Amino acid sequence: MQTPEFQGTPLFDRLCWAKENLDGVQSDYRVVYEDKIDECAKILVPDPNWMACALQGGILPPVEVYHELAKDEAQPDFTKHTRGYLLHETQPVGRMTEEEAIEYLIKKDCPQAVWKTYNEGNRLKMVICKKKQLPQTREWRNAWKIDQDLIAA
Amino acid sequence: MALGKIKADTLEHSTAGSLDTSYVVNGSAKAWLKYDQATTTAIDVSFGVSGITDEGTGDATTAFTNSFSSADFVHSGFAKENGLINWKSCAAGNIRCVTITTSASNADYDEVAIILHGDLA
Repeated sequence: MQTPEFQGTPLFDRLCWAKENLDGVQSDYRVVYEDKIDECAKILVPDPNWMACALQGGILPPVEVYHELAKDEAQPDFTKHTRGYLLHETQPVGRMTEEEAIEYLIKKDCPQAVWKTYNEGNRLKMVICKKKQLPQTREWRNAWKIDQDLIAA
Repeated sequence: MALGKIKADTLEHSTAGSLDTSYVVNGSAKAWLKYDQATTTAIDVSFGVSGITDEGTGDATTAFTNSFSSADFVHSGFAKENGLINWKSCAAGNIRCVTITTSASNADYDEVAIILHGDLA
């Protein structure tokens, strides 16, 4: 199915179109990361409808738009977004592969301090894996950490 | 754009009066989801969500595809059976919620639903 020309269309309307016309895609990928030394590993799971939008192309704004909004929100005098138009008026990104979509999602939803320096320092802070590589039960969930030995192997 | 479009500021019923369409636009949920955190975390159904981050037992952050205009949006949530849901923090682009038992300890549930209303960015 061809994506309509969406530049300038509110993102909410694009998502409504996607919900009506695209089947969700349950990704097998998971992103495991550690952002605080005293907390357990976090696991980012892509949303099926979002993944369908990413694979379809022409719907989602460039990830840099979210970074711009995050910069605004980090200002001490922030009360309300005034550059929301970036979400709607920036040329949407084209079709992505599932791997490219995961990379986009990392840049959108993981803390920048993690993905910008994930392989620096003496511990790997982030890893992309398949769902089946995660523990199969949630026993001791709050103690989960990235297995550094497994990665080295 | 190839989509059909009806533009109207007011909907009028023959006897029951009229309604400003801004009520419809502003009153619609802007994002919603139901997820399972009891086995491997997964989103079952959703709208307007880019992903969910499993942050620990009963602890999950939902990120939105279309950010809200600020962190001042309205959220409601439910967890299956006796589960309760608290929100821990929120920003314009995400909300972190914790599901707990009636004795206030974090717990994973296989059906957790969150609905979000408010002004979009």
